[in-house]
Amino acid sequence: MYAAIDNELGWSDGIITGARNIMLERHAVKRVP
Amino acid sequence: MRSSEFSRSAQKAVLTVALGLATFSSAQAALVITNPFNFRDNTGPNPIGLPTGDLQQVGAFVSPSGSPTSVTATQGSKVINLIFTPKTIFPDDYEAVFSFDPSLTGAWMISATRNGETATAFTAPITTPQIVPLVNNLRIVGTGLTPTLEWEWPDLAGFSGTPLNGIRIIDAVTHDQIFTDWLSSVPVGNAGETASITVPSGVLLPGHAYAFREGLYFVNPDGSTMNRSVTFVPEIFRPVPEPATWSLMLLGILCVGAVAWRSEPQKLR
Repeated sequence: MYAAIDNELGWSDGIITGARNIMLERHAVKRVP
Repeated sequence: MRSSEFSRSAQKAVLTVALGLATFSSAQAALVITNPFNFRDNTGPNPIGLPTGDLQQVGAFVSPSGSPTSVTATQGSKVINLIFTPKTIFPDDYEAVFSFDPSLTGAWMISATRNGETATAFTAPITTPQIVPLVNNLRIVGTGLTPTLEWEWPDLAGFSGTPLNGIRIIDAVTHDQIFTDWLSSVPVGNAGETASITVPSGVLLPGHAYAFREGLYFVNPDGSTMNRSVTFVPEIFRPVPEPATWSLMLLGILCVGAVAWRSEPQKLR
């Protein structure tokens, strides 16, 4: 079972740059040091 | 128009433009606070001497950064000076790291001042403080410039927020954070499953020393981190050039040698 974030977008692989960017934008992720 | 009048007019024009530019640049340099953060940070053992254990990090990115900008965080009667700790990937970082304090989980007011100018912002509170576990058996596969990091997931059931994760590469000598990348999948309920990510080319340099860490984040709906763990690869990594790189270097040396050899008889003539 994967987190909702992945089920939502149907990803099975984490190495797709585009997918990563969509994820970060979708969740407005604020990067921290 | 006489030439002296023209000269005065030209001087006035230059002065007006300079004043305009000065005003414009000071307007451009308005003090701005972004990404205020406040999270519980479970930091694992590491080979570069960073504080470990159940910590809390408070801070923000403040621009323009550096002297004379100064930044504090306030919660109730508690005031903390935030230290300017610039990194390649976070050049405007002001932060404080201290032992997690359950009495300081509320929102912090971040206040910045610079040349009489001030700015304020608020962090999110840590509404559900939790200790995020480290990932298991974090390791490097490969010795070259594009190694792969592998690890096994811990049990992540029952944590609040959206789980995200990412690797960070740190210069082991300067502690500069030089690279960050994110994975899209965090398995919840699949403890023991293996994950991996390969460092892209162009990030690591031969002969340099690096620390690798894997961060596991649980983020609030606004995208801010609430609880996090960071796991380090136990050893410092010094990449060695891969066979293809060695071959290329050898070819280069041979070419230089060949050119020198060919030019030698000309010198004798």
